[in-house]
Amino acid sequence: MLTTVLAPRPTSPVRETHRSIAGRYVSIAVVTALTYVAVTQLRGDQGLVAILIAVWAIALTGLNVVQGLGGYPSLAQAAFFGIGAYASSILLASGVPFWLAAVGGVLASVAAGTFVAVVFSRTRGQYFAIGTLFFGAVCTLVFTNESVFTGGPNGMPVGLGMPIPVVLAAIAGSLGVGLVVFDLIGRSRFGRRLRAISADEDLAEHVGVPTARTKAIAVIVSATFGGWAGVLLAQYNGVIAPSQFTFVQGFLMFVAIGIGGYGRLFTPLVGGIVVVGLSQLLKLQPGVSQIALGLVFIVITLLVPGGLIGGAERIARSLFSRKATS
Amino acid sequence: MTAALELRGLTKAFGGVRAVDDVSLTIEPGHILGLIGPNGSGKTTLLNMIAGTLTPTGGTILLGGVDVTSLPPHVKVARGIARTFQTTRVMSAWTVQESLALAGDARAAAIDAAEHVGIGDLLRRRVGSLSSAQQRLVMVATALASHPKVILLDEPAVGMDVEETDHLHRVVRGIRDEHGISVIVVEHNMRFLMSLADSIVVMATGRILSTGRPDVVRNDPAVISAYLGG
Repeated sequence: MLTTVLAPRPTSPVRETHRSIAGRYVSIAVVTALTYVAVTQLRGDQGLVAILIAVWAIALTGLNVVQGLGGYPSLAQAAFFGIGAYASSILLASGVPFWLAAVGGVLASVAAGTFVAVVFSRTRGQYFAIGTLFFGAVCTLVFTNESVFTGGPNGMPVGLGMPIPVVLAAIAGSLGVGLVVFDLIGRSRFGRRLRAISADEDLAEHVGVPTARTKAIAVIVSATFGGWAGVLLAQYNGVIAPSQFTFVQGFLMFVAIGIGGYGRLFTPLVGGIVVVGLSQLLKLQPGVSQIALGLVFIVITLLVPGGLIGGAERIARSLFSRKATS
Repeated sequence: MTAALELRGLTKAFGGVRAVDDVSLTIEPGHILGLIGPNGSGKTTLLNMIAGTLTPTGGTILLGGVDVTSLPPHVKVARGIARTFQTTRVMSAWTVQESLALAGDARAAAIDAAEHVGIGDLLRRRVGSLSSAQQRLVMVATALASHPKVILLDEPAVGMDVEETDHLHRVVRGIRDEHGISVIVVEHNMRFLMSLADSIVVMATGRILSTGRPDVVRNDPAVISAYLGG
């Protein structure tokens, strides 16, 4: 047999054990519990930042499907986020019961995601990024200028559909559910196909992966998460404004995935902490914080291609192997 | 019997250049067809059109009598046309099993394909950690895992030594004999191809120069002059 003729250097096989899967679910449960404690117990600026991080992390979980697993830089996530927030708020203001308004908000975002998917899923690389950036820019214009529906640049008040403690529990719970869904997607045939597209799209197509359809579904999944995060943000904030959903926010979401590490389970949380948390807690001016985040993104991309989580894993692995050999 | 694959007047033009010009040929089920010719003769362009990588400018591709000319690559894979590439293209960071499962969608198909090409004991290894020859076998196994009717091998023996080439020879023969799959092999290694193929098609400047059994083609004066040399 050829393999005995040409023995390659030994490497450790990648194997998913039941123990590692169970470990991930325990981690998700712990993160969900800590998120709940943070959003309910922290006060003032810290409480607000914790809630923003959690809501962003829900939206970023969707982006982690298309961008993290599929390797496709979507800059439309803030637009989906905004569509969910505005559509649910407009429906609520029209007298629609809250849960129907919430479903309507998500469906509006899914409809927008389907449009983006149909139009841009056959494009590649930078063309996909440019297309989604353009969509985000158009949505920002609509949020700002269609003042009859959106309240214009100053935003619109949002009727509360559920008490704040329930909103906070929903935020923490949604993050946990979102992470579980992401994990299931990552281990599914769909997730493998997305990873294949990320690794080599042409090769994936030639081994039978319907690349355009797979990317389209990923965009729609991403829009679903974004829309639901928007509903939650609107419910917590009580007011929404276009500045929360600009294409700059979409770009920061793209940066957050890169900082956390493409396609990793807790990337949305780590990316959210860095992008939302640091800039808010350090009280940087908007322009300065974006420059700082840009520099962080460049440094991480150059020095730690796997993002902060990938870098931490590498350090842990090297420490562990050093310990094992000593 | 319906041909496994039939090309009728297949043509590919890039601007004013006809890389493949009015090529027609038929491959019976369980047949190994060798495709040879000088560099730039249109061999890989022909494979690219059959696999769906390129859309033909003209002509028809029939798979089992069904027109598949303009289908995208992933649909052609589903219909039964699988391919390997001239340069090694693999999912380096994936294990062999993960790579094969992507094509086969079933663990059993992945294991069967790996065992058939002789890498059954490497299923849990990262593809990027394998030798060049083993990575090329992963490409063949990936093609095999998709349950094809026709496999297109683009210079599969590149970079292989004599022993590895002999192993590949047995693997391709096995694909034909055990699975009844038709194989089109583009290859410059004449020792390998002439003893492997049931028939040979020689291409030059995008057209078919000669067709026949390997021993006939080898002695064709036109082929000797255009490609094989004295």
